[in-house]
Amino acid sequence: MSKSKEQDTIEVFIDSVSHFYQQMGLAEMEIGVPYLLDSNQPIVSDFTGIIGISGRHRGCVYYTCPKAMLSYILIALGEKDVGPEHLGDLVGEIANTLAGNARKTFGSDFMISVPVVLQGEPDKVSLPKNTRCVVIPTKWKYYQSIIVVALE
Amino acid sequence: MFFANQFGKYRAIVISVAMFIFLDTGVLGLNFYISSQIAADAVNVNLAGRQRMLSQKSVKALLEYRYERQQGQSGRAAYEEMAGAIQLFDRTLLAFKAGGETLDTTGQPIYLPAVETPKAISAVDQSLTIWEPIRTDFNALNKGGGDMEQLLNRLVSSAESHNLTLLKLMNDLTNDLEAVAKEKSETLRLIQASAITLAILNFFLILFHFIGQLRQSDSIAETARKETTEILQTVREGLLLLDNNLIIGTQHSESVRAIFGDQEFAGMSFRSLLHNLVVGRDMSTTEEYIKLLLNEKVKENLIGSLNPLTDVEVSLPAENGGYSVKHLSFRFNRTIEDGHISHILVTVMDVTETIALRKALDEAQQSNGLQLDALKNLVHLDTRTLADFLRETDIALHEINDTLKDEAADPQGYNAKLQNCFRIMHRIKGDAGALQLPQVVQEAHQFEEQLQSLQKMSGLQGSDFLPLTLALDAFLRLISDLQEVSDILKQVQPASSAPASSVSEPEATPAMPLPLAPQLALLDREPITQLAERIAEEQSKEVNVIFDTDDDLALPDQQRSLVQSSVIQLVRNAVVHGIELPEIRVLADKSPVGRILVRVRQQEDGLRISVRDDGHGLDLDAIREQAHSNGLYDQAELESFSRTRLMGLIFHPGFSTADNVDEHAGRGVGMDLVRSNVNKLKGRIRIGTQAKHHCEISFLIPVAASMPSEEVDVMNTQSDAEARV
Amino acid sequence: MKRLMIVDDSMVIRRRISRAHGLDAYEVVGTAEDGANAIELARETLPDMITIDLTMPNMDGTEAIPVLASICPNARILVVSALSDKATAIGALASGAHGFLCKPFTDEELKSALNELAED
Repeated sequence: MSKSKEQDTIEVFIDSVSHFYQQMGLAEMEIGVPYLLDSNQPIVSDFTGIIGISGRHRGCVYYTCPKAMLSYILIALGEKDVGPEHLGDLVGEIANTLAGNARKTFGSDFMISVPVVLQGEPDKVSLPKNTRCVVIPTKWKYYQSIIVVALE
Repeated sequence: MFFANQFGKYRAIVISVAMFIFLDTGVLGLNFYISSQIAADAVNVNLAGRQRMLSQKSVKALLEYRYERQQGQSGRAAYEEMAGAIQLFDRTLLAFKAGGETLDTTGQPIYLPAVETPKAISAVDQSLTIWEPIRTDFNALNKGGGDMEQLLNRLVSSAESHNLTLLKLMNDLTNDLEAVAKEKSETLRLIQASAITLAILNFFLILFHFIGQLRQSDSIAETARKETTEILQTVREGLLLLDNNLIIGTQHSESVRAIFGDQEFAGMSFRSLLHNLVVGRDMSTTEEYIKLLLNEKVKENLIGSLNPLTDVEVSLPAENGGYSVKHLSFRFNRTIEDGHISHILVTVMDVTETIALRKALDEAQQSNGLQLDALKNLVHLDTRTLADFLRETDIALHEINDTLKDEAADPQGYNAKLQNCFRIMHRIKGDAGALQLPQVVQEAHQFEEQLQSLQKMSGLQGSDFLPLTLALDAFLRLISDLQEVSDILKQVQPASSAPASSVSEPEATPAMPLPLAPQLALLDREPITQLAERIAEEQSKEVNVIFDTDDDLALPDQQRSLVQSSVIQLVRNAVVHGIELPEIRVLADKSPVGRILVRVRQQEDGLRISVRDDGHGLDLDAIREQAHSNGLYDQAELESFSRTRLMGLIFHPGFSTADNVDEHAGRGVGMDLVRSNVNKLKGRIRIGTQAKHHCEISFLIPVAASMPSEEVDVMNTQSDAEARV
Repeated sequence: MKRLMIVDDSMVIRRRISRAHGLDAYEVVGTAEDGANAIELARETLPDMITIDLTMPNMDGTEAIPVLASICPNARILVVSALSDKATAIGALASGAHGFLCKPFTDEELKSALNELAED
C-alpha cells in the first residue's frame, strides 16, 4: 500500500517534534501508537503550542505536554529559571518548529499562522468541528505528551 | 589599463598602422631632403654655368679695355666690367675648389660646397693652373705702375691662348655637376618610390588582413547570435535580464512572449511587465527583493527562501480570446561580470500543469467517496439490517480505536493490540460479507492485511501504526457515508417492503413506527445462507444450509448481534474447514451437497445455538501439528492434551489450519471471535465431532445472562413486546 | 575564531544556536534577548558575526539591524527568523543584514549559512 498524502503530512509533524528534541541535545522521544480523537473533545495538558492552518487544508496542529516535563527539559538544558515564561517559550519553539517545517515541506498548500501558546485553557483550542483528529502520543523520559493533527 | 587590456587583441592593427605612418613620414622626409638637395645642386650648376659666361665676359672686357687704351681713351667702363667679372670668377672658382662663400646670381652671398667628383676636381684644378698666372697679372695690372702696356699684352695673349681651354673646363665642370645632381635625384626618387610602394603594400596588407579578420569575427558573432536566438526561441522558461534600474534588456526568450503576450519588452520596467499580475504590496516586496540581489553585500545563497514570487496565480489572455488561470514561478539570479553584479536574470516558469497535477493527485487521494456499485448493493438490503450493521460496525471500529489508544509501550503489548484489532475486524468482515457489502469487505480485508504486515514487522514501533490509524479513520468515514445513505433509504423504503430475508417473522404492520418495528427473529437467515453459498461457490463446494429454530425465540439487539456474528463465523468455518469437495464426498459415500444445520433450541438452562456440518470432522492430528508449528505448545505438551483440550485449540487466537489466506479463512481469527462473543454472552462452547462424519459446535447462553436487567422489557416474549407498542 | 553574538527573544533558540554542532570556528561572545540589549552588547564586544531574530520585544530586529551595522560595520549579520512575513525579512536585509536563515533549521543549515557569511 502506498503512503498516502495524509500520512506524509502527519509524519512531517511527528518528525518536527522529534528533531526538535534531537537538536536540543535531549534524549530521544518515543512515539506511541496513534489513535483517533473526536474533534469536539480536544485533549490538552498544562502547556500547549498550537498552529492554525488555512488554505487548501484547514485545521490546526498542536503539541501539548505537562508542566513537569517542560521544567525537566529546561533543567536538563542547564536553565535554572523554570518560570511559566520560559516553559511557554519552550512549547512555543516546538510549535514554531512545527510551523516552519510545514511551510518548508508543503509550500503554498498550507497557510500557517503564528504559533500560540496556551496554559491549560482547553476551550481556546478550536478544532475543526465534526472531524476526527489523529493523536500521536509521545513519551520523553516518563512524561507523556501528545501531538494532535486536526485537518479537514 | 584599458590599453594594456585591449592591446593584445588589436596588436596587429596597431603595428600595421604604426608602420604605415612611419613609411609615410619617411617618404615625406625624403621629399624634403630631395627637394633641398635638388635646389642646392641647381645653384651649383647655375654658378658653374656662370663661370663659363664670366670667362668669356672677362676676355671680352679685356680686349675692349686694350682697344680703348690703344685709341687713347680711358677704357674705364671696360676695365670695371673686366675687374668685376674676374673677381667673381676667381671667388667662385676658389669656392668650388675648397668650399667657400661667393655671390649668387642676384648678388647675395651664398655658400658653395667643394666639388667632390674626380672629374669636377680635375676640371677645377686645371682651371686654377691656367688661372693663377692670369690672376697674378691682373692683380699687378690692378695695382698699377710698371709697364702697363706689356702687362696688358701679356694678359691678352694669355687670355687668348687659354680662353677656349678655360671655357671647356668650365663647361666640363657644369656638365659634371649636372650629371651628379641628376644621379643623386634619381637615387632619391628611387628610394621615394620604394617607400611609397611599401606604404601602399602595407595599406593593402592592413586592408585585406583586417577585412578577413573582421569577416571571421563577424561570422563567429553571427553564429553565436544565431545560437543564442535559437536557445531563446526554444527554451520553455521565460528568460529576461534586468539592469540595476529593473529595466528589461534587449534580449529575452520567446516564451516571455507566450507568457506575457505580444509586446515590446526591451526597455520596459519589470513593474510594468507584472502590472495587473502582481499588485500592491507584493510588487514592492518583489522589487525590494530584486534590489537585495543587486546589493553586493547580501549573499545570494542566503536569501533564496525570501523570493516572494515562487507561485503566482495569474489570469492571462488565452488564445481563444478568454482568460486562463495560470501559475507562474519566478526565479531571480545574479549575473556576474568582472566580479560585479551586472544584471539580474529572471526565469519565469509556467508551473500550472505541475500544480494542477498535484491538486488532482491530492483530490484523488482524498476522495474516498462511495462508488455507485456500493450504493446499488445497499438498495437491496433491509434498511433495519443495514442500520444495525452500520451502528455495530461503528461501535466496533471505535473499539479498535480504544485498543490503539490503550497504553502499551512494549512489543508484547503491541502484538496484543494487533490481535485484538484482528478479532474485531474479522467480525466486521464476516458480517459485511454476509450482507454482501463488497466495499466494506474490501476495506476490512485491507485493514487486516495492514495488521498482518505490522505483525510480521520486527521491532515494531508506535509510529508504524500510523497507516493503520489513518485506515481506521477512512473506514469510519466510509461507515458514516453509508449511514447517511442508509438514513435516506429508510425514508424512501416503505416499511411494508420488509425484505425476503424476514419471511419467517410476522408481517410488519405498515402503521407501526419504524424504531419499534416487530420483534426480529433471533437469526437473520438470509445473509447466513448467502454467505455459505458464496463461500462454497468460491471454493468449488456445494452446500445447503438448513435452519431449525423456533421463531418465537428472541434476544435483545446487542445479544442478537453477538449470536448472529458467531453463527456467521461458525457457518463460514463449516464451509471452509468442514465440508469436503463434492468429488471427495462422493467417494466417501456422501451426497455431493454438503449439509449445514443451524439449530436454536430453548433449554431449561438457556438457549443452545448449534452449527453442525456433515463434513470430515475435526482432524486432531492437523490441529496438533498446527499448534506446534505456530509455536503455541511443544510436542510433548500437545501429546499430553486431552481430546477436548486439543479441540479447544481451534478457538485460540491466531490459530488456523487453512492453507491459504483469503477473505474467508486462514487468519485464525474467526473462531477466536466466536469465543470472545460467547464469553460476552457468559456462555459455554461445546464441540462434538466424529471423524469423516460430522462436526457440531454449539454454545449455550444461560438464562440469567440472556436477560440483562435493563433489557428485560425488550427481550421478553413477543406478546410482551407487542404489548408495549 | 570568529566572534559570534546571538540575538533572539527565545532562550530555546539562543541555546539552540550556541549549542549547535560543527560551529567550532565560532566563539559565542554574548547573547541578547532584544534589540536594545543587543546594541549595548555589540558596543562592548564588537562581534564579527551576529545572528538576529526579527520579532522581539523592546526593539525588534528590523530596528536594531541598522544600528548594529553602524556600530560594527565589518560584522556579518544573519537574520534567523520564521518565514511568516517575507516583506519584513526583505526589509530587514535591505537595512544592513547579509543573509537569511529560516526557522526551524538544522545544525548543518546554520553552519553553512554562517560559513558562507564568514567567507569574505
